[in-house]
Amino acid sequence: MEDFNEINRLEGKIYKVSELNFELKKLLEGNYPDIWVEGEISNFHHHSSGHMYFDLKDENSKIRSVMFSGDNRNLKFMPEDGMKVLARGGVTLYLRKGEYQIVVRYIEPKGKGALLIAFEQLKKKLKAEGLFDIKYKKPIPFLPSRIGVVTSLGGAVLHDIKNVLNRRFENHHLVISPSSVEGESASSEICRAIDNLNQYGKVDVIILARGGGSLEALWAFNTEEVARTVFSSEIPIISAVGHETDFTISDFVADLRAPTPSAAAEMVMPEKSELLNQIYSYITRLKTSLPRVTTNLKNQANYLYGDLQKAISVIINERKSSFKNLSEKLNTLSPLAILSRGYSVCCMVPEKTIVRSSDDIKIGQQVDILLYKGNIVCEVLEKDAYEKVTDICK
Amino acid sequence: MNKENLEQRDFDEVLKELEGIVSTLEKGDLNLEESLKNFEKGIKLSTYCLKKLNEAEKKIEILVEKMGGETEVVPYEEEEEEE
Repeated sequence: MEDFNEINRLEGKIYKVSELNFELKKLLEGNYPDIWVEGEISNFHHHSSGHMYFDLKDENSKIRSVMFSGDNRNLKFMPEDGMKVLARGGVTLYLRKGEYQIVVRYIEPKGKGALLIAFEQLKKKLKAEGLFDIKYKKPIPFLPSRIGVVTSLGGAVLHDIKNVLNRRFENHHLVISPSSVEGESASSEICRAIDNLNQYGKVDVIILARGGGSLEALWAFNTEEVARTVFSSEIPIISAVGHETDFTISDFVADLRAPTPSAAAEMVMPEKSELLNQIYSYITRLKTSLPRVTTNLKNQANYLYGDLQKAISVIINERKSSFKNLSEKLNTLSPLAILSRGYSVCCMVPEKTIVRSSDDIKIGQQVDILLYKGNIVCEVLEKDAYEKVTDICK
Repeated sequence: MNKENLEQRDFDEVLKELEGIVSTLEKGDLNLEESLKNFEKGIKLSTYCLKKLNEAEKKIEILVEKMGGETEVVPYEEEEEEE
């Protein structure tokens, strides 16, 4: 077999390296000018120039890739190692290094869309920074005197909010800070609307509201700009964006999340009729409780009075009965009682001293004899001397 | 308790105090003098709450930016809905 190398050389075509590479570059660019490639990102490097350098690989192979800043500037998400992506671009050869690569002009995550990836990336980042922490959540005032609302003018949302407020608390004070809620300028307008309300400073709470829509439609509420503005608002913010099931970054950084704009209006304002009833019931209870207090006291007074009377009558009775005893005793002891049993008392006239012995008296003298009933004056005719009355009885 | 610091307090806080007064009064274990004092305060708080609820009048304004970035509120003429 001839020497293979020998033949080539003879045919007279010897490439210079750059010449060869140049031809290969034309070959590649000619055949693969605009293709889609699926692969996983690795060795990702975001150069300060803004250009992004990375490999796209699968289980068996990889290919160098570059995405120039011009193309990657309005990427909604940040490519990361391990991310499965679809890339579109053209294959070329980087002459100096002799490496072929894809110049990627568009890239999107495979499966979940770019927006969802961006949402999760921002969520992770802000959460790590602590912007979701409960401790930063400001309380919503119970009865705000002025309510701020950031939404688009003339939309159904504003209409719903006004209706709910009219129903719950007719004489409410609403301050609208209008902003578009969709499209390129939405996020900056929302920030400005919030800042304006903070600068105005007279509202006690802000409702940030938007009707339902796709992730794309709600995108303004998932931007870092709006997230940081909502977080740093001095005035408490209720985020009411989208339907019940939609969660936006503004929900996580706000002081309170409402499932829908009308729910936000319900959360922010108590029902006036309910409050009025509550207060009227307090007034009636106050009014009924006072007389009850006085009647209680009256009853207590009566009760005490009753006691008093009882106590007094008890004392009186006691006094009476003890008086009776005494007087009875007195009676029995009193000389008069003896008289009733037939005795009499003989007294000298006129001294009225009691004659106890016949020696005290002389014959012919007068004595006054005190009987049980009345008395008699007598003259002593005769007298007899003996020791004591008891001698008579023997 | 003078009037001013009532204004500074949160409405629901005043409401809670009123509720407390009513229930203590209803327990009835206060002497006459304390009951009267509580009663009087209860009436004062409830009239304040009623005033607070009724004093505001319905207003819908719109916050606009003037030159130089200052903000200003102007009445918002909404299309008359069927009230």
